[in-house]
Amino acid sequence: MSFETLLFVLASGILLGGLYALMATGLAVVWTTLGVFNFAHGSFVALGAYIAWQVSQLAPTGPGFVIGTCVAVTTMFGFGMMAHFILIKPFERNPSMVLLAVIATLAAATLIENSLLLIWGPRDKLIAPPITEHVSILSVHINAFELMALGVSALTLLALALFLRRARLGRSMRAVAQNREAAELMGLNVPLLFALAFGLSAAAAALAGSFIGAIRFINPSFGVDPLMKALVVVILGGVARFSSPIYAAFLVGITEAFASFFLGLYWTPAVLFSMMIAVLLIKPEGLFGYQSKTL
Amino acid sequence: MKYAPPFQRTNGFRPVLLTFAVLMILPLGLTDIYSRHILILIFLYAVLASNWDISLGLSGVFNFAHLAYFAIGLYTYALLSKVLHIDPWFALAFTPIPAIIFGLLLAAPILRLDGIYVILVTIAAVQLLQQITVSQSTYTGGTGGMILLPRLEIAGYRFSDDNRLGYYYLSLTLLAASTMFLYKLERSSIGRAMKAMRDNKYYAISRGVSEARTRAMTMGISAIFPALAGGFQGAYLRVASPDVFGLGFLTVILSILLLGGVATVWGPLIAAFVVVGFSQLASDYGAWRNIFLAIMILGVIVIYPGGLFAALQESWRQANRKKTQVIASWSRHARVADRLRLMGAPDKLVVTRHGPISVCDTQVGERVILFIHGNSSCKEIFHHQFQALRTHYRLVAFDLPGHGVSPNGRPDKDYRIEAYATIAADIIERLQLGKPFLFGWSLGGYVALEYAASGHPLCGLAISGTSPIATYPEDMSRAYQPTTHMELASTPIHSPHEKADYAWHTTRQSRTEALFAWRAVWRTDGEARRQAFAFLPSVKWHRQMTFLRTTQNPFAMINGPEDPFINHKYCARLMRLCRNDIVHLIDSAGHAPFLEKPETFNETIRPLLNMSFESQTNPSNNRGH
Amino acid sequence: MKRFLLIGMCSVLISMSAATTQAEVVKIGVLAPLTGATASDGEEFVRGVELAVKEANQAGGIAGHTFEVVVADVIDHSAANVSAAAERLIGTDGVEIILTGYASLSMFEVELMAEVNMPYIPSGPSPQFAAITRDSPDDFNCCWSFTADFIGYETDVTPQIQALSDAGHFDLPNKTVAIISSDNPYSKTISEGMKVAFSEAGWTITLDELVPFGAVADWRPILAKVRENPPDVVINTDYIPSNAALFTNQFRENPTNSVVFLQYAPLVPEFIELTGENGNGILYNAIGATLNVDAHPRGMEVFQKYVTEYGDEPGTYGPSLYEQATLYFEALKKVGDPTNRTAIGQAIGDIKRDVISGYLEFDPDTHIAKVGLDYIPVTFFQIQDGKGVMIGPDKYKEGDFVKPDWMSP
Repeated sequence: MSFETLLFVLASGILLGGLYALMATGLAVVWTTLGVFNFAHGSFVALGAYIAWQVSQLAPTGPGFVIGTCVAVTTMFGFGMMAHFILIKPFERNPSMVLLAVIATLAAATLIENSLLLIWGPRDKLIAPPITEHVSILSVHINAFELMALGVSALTLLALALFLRRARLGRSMRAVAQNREAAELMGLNVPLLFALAFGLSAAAAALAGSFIGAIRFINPSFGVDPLMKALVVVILGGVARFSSPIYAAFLVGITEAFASFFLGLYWTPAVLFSMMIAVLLIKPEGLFGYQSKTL
Repeated sequence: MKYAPPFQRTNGFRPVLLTFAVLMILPLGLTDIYSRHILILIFLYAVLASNWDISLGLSGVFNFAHLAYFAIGLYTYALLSKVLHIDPWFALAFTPIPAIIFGLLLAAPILRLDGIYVILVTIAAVQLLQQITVSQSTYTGGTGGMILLPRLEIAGYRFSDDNRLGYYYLSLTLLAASTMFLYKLERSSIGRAMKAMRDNKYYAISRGVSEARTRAMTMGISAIFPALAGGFQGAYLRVASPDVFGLGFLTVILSILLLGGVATVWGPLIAAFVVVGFSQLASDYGAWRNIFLAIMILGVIVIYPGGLFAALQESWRQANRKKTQVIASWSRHARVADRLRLMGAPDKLVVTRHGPISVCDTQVGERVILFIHGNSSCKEIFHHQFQALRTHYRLVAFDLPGHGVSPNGRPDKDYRIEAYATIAADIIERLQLGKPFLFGWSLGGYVALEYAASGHPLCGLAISGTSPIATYPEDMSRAYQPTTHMELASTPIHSPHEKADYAWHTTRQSRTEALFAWRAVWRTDGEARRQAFAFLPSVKWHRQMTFLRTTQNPFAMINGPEDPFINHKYCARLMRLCRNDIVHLIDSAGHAPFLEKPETFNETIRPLLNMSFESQTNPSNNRGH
Repeated sequence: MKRFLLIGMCSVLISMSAATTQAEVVKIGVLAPLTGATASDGEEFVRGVELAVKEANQAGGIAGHTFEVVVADVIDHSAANVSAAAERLIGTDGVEIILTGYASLSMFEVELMAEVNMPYIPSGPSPQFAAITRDSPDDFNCCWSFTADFIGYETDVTPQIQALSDAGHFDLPNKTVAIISSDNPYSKTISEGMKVAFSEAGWTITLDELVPFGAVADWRPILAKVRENPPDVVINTDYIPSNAALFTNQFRENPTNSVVFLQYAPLVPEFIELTGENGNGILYNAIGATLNVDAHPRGMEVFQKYVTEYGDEPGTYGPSLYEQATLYFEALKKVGDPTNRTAIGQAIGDIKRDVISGYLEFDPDTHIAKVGLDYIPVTFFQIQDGKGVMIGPDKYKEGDFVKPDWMSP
């Protein structure tokens, strides 16, 4: 394996990792605050991507992508807040809430996926990326847009981290995630904060969706694959801290790239799932996790 | 002891028998392949969903690898019969073995995990299994799968002949066997261990239930029928392809289970009909069908988190309430003469804070005795006393709301011991009964105690068939014998057999001897039974005990030594703590001594009555309340 | 329980009674994925048949019969869904023929059709079809595969590339090839065959990579492996358009000096949309593609009809399904009675004529269409300026190979 190849595979892994980080963080925010796993997260990614595509059609070559992404992110934020009240709120106090949330989010995924199919049809679509140039880093050509996506993802995650650490609202969210009852007693509006978590998660999904739509392609059912990957990432990293899924995302991205190179793409999913099972057996709280959960 | 009657004596027996009979003869009417094919699919999906309930509902283990059992069954059948050329019947019978082994292997990693983590590990395990299956394409055909699997035959008769008749009956047999198995499992000691582990893991462990063993059992047992269903599908469709590992299939089966209702045997069976029937009916609408199905699922779980079966039970309960209401208002008018003959006095409706109540009042006499009947009974239960004591006393009895000829009450407000006590107080006030002597039977005994403990006027008190409770809920198990009575007393809907059982054990009178008492069981609003027990925790039991310890009024317990329900030792011990420690035992009487041995009973209670009423007229003895 | 049971019963009964109306109209059953990942192909199946039916009905019907299309959704092509859809069509009164692009990848439904002697014309994978019919072709008089023998996919790529090299378009200095395949019967069978063909022709296979069937998130690690030992030819037989498009885009980021050949995917219209400039220069071939060239009038005619009707350029399946429907009409014209299924099946098998993809004649041993220059040819295309240009065989070609701009001059 030459140095150039190593660099190339590594770059591929890092670019993948950036996208995974964005998706997994969205998933983790909901998981830690509400304690449910949102199986509709993949369809949120798809819905966000379609909204971005639709808006970007207004100006397919110029600023379409940027406007589309902004619209998608804000719309999905509202949509996510609404989804919380429909999908999770009704059985918040139900003893079998975990199971009901699973089926509710699975049903929502079906609902969204089929609505996308009805509205936009089954054919693959591409969101025209704003830049098409390539940049060379140490003789490796990389799509400049993907590099930009990586940068924007990093900035978004940083902003989200600052929001959760510094802003009053963000700190309230962390409080709810750490101890719901205590937060409630302190007078925090827990349903609103839950909805906010869902909204942030959906907004991150939309951002990820529009990046994927511009790097790859979108069709109504493309959300399943990112969902599975995000699942692996969240399990591997754990949700102990805001940063745990991010580390894990890059770990998964790079592992995937090198596994594909050395073992072939065929056995890569098996490697990832085995890693996941192994981590759950040995350290169920995740590689980067502690026992307590927070954001 | 858990109440577990044989199936043929429960409510579900007749509908299930009817359904089974209909399904048995249905092929006569439905001769075309498509209808039968859909029914076969329904049966298979019902088997899958209802068996998933063992892990998901009964044990609370979120095993999302359940459909892997089906896949394993399918591929086992395919590999054995097609690659190894083993007899298809043997291959089918063998399918559970690898599935059980897989289940046991999977039980190890999920032992330490809970909730959502179990879901994720099991999903990952399925993905791995799929990958292994697909990678062995020499044997399994890879993603294309295996086709033309051997079909099932008996003596040259192909099961697919006569428009799939053989497969139809085989799948129906599979469903029936699986359902019977699930029914038995839920009521077995293993099933109870699973439930205990789900409801309170640490308590169950402390009582000696092994967590590892129970989980392993759960994973192993729930593999048997899905694997057989998988083998069946292999023989029926003659295809084994890896799509059975997919998320789409999982969503369908999970929808069936949750739509039907978790932790019920019957819910998934109903939902399989609804979901598969609906998808086929709406199959022309493509994406719209999936959208409607998703909305339907969301709607059902938001409105009825218990699923269709809970909704069905709820509507059945509502219908039962309507029915009992109609019976009550009808017999209030139509059976006036019967009641007059029994009681020797007419009844009328008296308005109380908890609605109108039917009260029977002999009206003559200064000394008043108020009778309060028990659960699922009626005021006519005291007819012997009304006949014998009316010359000396004014006798008043009333039907509790939802009982006898009183109308049904509001389940959340009227069917509780405190409400019953309030009703007694209202009647005493409206009819100006002054300071009556109260006699309460069974549940009525608690009502009388509650009435007295809350400071209402009275001159004396006797209870029968009631064990006073000092601390709730600990004393419940000490105060009563472990019998099925408690379970029946709180069950909203009884089967005819259970009604008869209840009527007999509470009165020891046959239907001809005490028709009114038997009819009262049939008439009682099921909600009254359910709610009276549901509200037990809110009763101020300690106040009743304080009353018993401190009261100046005469008090006695008059029990039958053959009462099958109450614990006599407990009563005797408890009474020793009380100020008036009188326990009368009426020889060879059961739960209702006043009905079974009226003469002895009346003789026993007379001195007590005299003492009570005399203390009234002689105020020096009465320090009062 | 009773109530819901009744609803279930009723639903089944209603669906049956709905089926027992109108017998003069012949219903044409179509198995198509209306939902799920392949719904875009399904849409074309239905459009193709509807176009043919519309024409036939406007012409006053055939042998006194008019037609109606009944579609059954195979959703995700799973065995349970395909069998339910097939049974539904078989059980619908008035359905006398079933057409499909592809229903299940294993073609097991052919058995179901044969059981009830239902005429069935699929254009799914022919090797799987042949695997079922080969042993006793006479038991499958109902079923005829519109797709020709896939053997051409396996054998014809090697000589074609050598011919292009001989014509001086590019050099093959090492005679090396990297073959990437997806783990599905279609891609895998073809890539296995190609490996044999290349080896026999003296080539070296530098990379033999199998990817799991489904969406591929990133081809870069595999492309890195390709680049470790740059081959003369890169072949990817993954037929999912989005996978092939991503492969093309990522290949173009750091290209090697190789001819790139993709299987099937570039035939799907959105491939060009998704790859844009990057697609130019890609080589692909097809058996059964619409020969929309002057040399083959039938292909042009159907292609034009489809474009006029729907405004979109079709992929393979729109014109194919149109043609499959006309095959049935022809058989019905000959037999007259649509319920005489044996005769209809026989009549379909006897058809010999020009179809969109060449000259149709069924092989009596396997019931699949014959492949070859005189029958249904393997046609080679190259994307040039965002359009697929047929560069071979010479009989039909509409243009010449152009050296892709990523290859060194």
